[in-house]
Amino acid sequence: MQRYIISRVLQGILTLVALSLVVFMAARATGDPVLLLVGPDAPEEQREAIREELGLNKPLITQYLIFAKNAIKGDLGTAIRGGEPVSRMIMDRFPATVKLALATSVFAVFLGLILGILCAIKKNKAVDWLGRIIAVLGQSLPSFWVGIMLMLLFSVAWGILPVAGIGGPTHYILPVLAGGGFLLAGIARLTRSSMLEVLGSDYITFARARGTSESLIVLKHALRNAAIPVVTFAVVLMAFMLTGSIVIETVFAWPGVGRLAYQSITSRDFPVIQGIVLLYGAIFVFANLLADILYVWLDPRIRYQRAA
Amino acid sequence: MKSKRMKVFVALVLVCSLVTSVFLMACAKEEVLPTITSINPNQGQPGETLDVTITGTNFTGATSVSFGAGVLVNSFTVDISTQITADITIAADATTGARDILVTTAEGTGILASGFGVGEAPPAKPEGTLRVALDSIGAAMNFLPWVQGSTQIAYVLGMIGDLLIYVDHETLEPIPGLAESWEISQDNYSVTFHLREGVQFHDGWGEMTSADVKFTFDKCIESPVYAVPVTLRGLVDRTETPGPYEFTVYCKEPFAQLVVSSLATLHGFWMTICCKAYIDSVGEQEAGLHPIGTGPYKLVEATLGDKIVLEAVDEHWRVVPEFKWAIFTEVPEEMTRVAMIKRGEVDIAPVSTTSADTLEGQGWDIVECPPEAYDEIFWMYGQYPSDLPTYDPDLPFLKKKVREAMNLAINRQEIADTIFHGHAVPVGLPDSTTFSDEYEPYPYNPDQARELLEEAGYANGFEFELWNAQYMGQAPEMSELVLALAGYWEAIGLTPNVYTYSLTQKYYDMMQRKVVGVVWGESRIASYEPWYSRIQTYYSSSAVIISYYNPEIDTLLAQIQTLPTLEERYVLVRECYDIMYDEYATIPICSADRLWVVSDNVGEWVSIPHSMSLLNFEYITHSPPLGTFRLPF
Repeated sequence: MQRYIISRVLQGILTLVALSLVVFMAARATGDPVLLLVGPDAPEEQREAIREELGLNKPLITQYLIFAKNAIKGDLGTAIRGGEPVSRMIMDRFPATVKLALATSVFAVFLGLILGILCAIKKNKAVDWLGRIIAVLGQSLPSFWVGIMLMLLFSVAWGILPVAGIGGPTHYILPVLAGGGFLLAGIARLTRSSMLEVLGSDYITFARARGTSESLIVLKHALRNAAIPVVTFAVVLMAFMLTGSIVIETVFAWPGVGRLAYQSITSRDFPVIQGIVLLYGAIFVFANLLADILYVWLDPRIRYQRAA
Repeated sequence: MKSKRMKVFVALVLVCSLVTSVFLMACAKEEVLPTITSINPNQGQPGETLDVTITGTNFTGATSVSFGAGVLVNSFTVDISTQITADITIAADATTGARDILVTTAEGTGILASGFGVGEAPPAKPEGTLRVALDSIGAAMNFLPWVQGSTQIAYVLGMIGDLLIYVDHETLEPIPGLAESWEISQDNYSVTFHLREGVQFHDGWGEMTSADVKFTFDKCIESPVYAVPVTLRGLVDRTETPGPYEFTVYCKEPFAQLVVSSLATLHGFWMTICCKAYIDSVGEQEAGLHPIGTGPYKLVEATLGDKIVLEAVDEHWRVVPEFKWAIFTEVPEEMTRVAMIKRGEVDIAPVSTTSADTLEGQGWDIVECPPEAYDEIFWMYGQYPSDLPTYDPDLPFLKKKVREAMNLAINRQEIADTIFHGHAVPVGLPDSTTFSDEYEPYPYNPDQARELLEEAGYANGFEFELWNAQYMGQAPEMSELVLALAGYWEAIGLTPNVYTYSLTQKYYDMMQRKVVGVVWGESRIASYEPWYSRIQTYYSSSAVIISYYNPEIDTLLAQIQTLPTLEERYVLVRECYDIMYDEYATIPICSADRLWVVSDNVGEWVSIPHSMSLLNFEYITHSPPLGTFRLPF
């Protein structure tokens, strides 16, 4: 197990290095940031002075090595626009994204599990159909549309919830509902199919034959096994949530990392883009690592297979 | 009988006595003069209109009430004999001090000496919060004027800081700002600014002096990323501070007058005066995030992509705002901004013309601030000097008749009415200038356009690329506008192929003069000066991006550079625009308004062109106004 974790951590670091290299090169291949800084009115000597000041006139490999060396020390550089430290910009925004991601994840995982279990144990009944319709809608309706509809209904028409912005608990309700729909639907569908598979297995039949109560069968025997793929799925989806949804953050004016990423891309603020992509990469590497470890921990068969 | 007569006589005497007594008593009562015992309120301010209650006696039948000089009694009512209610207006220019109150009846006049006071106007007391939802509060949160990104937040810079001088956009004359006056030396080699005394920096950082002005000016001139400094930088030799309130700029050539003009134009290039002591103390990075200025508001909090919070100062030389707090929140999605307005979460939000129409129909107030803020213009690329390798002599755009045809094909009024829902006016020049109105928009004449194409040898039309260029700041109507233009040109037999690009993808090619046979457009914020710089930027052989080339314009620009005053330069600038207009050099479409939906909390919001960014949020009043507002300048 220890060896497995070390190997996965090393793979993760390699992934991050490769990722940073790709992002670094790609960002520079798409245009000159100096043009965005000073616009077309600026003379060449002015643009050259800025390149000198920002180190953009150095060879690309030198620029990358400087970036990598500083990044290891936690210094992601300063934003081209405004000169603010990138790490501070990201950390200013990250808490808002984390809060929304956690709230959305709790909502989606909790309700998704309940819905999935209900659908499985009431297969082809009204509850199942209702749950499947909810799941299909959750995965097919665009979150920006859902967000706007919720806003018009709950905020404008009924006036019971705030429209946008970060604030008290009520500010979380609409973005969580709009953003959590997809996650909830995914978990519900996975839980349902997984539960149906487990509920049809021999050991469940045996438990029923022994006279074990249905609720005990579902919650203790079936759910424990059915939850394994759900847990890994939820962990990866939570990683998605942690990177910040540009759509949800835009619609609800949520000051998170997603919008910072969008702003940086449109203004070609390379240091910020690099910093955010590295953060995203780290989150996904960590989430995958966590999912793998959880999977191994939850399913002893995998451990035994590896040992064998 | 005799006794009976006696009884009647006595009775008559008694009745007469009684009547006489009553009469005499009544007469005696009416003869009592009115008296005034108190006034409520007993004080008013110049310019104020108020109801005053006068308490006393014998007011019945009062014929006049007086409050003394400078106070007009509009009307009064005798409520009862002991109370009069008077509606008075204190003249704005009434001298302060005590006034005698006079109530006159038929019996005489009652006086209360020094019963009412005309007091000093109270110090302005901003109150309440102005909540503004913007599509972007700025791409960077650095408030030092010489740092790139500051131009994105010019509306905030104009609130937290002041400029050395401003410009009157009616006359284009510089008007005093932090500099109360200035003197240009006789040889035109230097200009000395005399600074306003007693202007304080926020948070106790002391009085603004010439050291702060020199520091700010020098930093801006030296900064490579400072907005549009080319004109100014080329002129300045050195700066000095002869005294604490004197700041002198020395020029390399006799162009001192141009320094003043340059500072006044383009809003002084957003050169708000910064506190040297503060920046020396905390460093530029910290000072950029938490600036100290002299403006009517001070910065409390600024978070990139989230919000900017400002707090009004209680006294200011330029304007005392009515709102104590101003909060700018970034809400990129228009639908969300509209929902916030409707729910009362914000007071002001920018909206597109389509939304503005809908909201207006629902009873919301739409404000144009500033009106005609954007120039919607299109260019025909490839009109390069013939010595460039990308010069294509067969390019249709090189023919004047083709350019004329493309312009005549467009119904500008229809575009203004439908795409911009009436919030735009057709224009004849690509840039907003004080003389733009002299150039009539090109007429709509598709038949003539077809004839011109035929005469130019393009009876069957030609193909070209029409770019729908996307970037931050582009009008939301741009995509619709591009499609409309495509339709007009197709109607005269041309074949525009529409492509959507992020403008930054194409900048490099455009600068390299590689873009040929392409039409693309821009929503450009109307600027006021210096136009010759704009002509040089777009319409000369040395332009960074050549949008049109004509050797005559090159010659005129070379002459302009040698002229020391703005007035002389204007003459040649107009000649440049004459050429561009006559040659159909560009495709100017219209000037569009910047539209905002405002809540009932917002009173007056007029565009004051002296203010930076033209948005002047610091001049917005409550509804109804608190009366603390003072006109600027």
